[in-house]
Amino acid sequence: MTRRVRIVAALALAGVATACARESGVVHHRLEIADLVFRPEEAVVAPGDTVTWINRDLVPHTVTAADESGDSGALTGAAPFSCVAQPGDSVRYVCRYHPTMSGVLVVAAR
Amino acid sequence: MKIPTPAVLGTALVLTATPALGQSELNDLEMAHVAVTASNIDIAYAHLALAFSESPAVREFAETMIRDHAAVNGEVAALAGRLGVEAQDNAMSRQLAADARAVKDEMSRLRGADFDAFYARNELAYHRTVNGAVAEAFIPNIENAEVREAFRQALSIFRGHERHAERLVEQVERMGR
Repeated sequence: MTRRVRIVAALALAGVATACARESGVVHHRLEIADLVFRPEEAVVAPGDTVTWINRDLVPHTVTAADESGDSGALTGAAPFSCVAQPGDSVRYVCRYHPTMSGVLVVAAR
Repeated sequence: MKIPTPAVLGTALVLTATPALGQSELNDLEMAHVAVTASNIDIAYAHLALAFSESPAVREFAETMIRDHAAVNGEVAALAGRLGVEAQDNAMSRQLAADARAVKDEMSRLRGADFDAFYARNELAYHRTVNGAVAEAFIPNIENAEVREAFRQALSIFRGHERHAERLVEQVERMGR
């Protein structure tokens, strides 16, 4: 897998992102983690969009690139994690704590 | 409130088989105590794994069990605080603890691949047994809606642990060949 999406902490985005809210052409996508599942398991976003994961479970999770090139650190319900999608290919991500969990972020031009 | 005896119980493969689980009549607070006891038992098993195992897969699983079960227990304590109640000790909790002592004794005598295989299989059997009881005997009989929702959320976590344990068993069996 070619990784071209950078998963980076963007704390300034936390709390302002809403589910697919559009601002000046940029879409804020809100993904959830619940019942040990990334929801949706596959999300399609455009370059420049922001993606925020919110953990609804009782236990911590991570959003970690499968190739280990990026990691959110432990996510709890009080601390969402956001990143900005960069132009390029898809990235598969997992939870480091729960290896049965995985998701895919597909970056494609609108 | 009466808890029926579910047919699913009594299917555990190893020493954690707990025939009493799900066969008693428990109220919400007693079921909460059983859940916390079961979590504490799994945390204790995980600490043994961290002490005795050198397998990264086993150690990572154990760390997740400690992290997750501590979080669930914390939620149970927080809910009890909000409701102004306290989990109630009961015969089922005591039976679980007694059974766990035997398992820990057995586990403590093992090392290397033998330990890893025992730990992984025990985790799978333990989660299958507890999850079966929670799904079929506990949740349908919980009266308080908040307590029921807490059990539902915890069950979703523990079912994830069961899937993780299935994978761990496969891993340690491959390593043992």
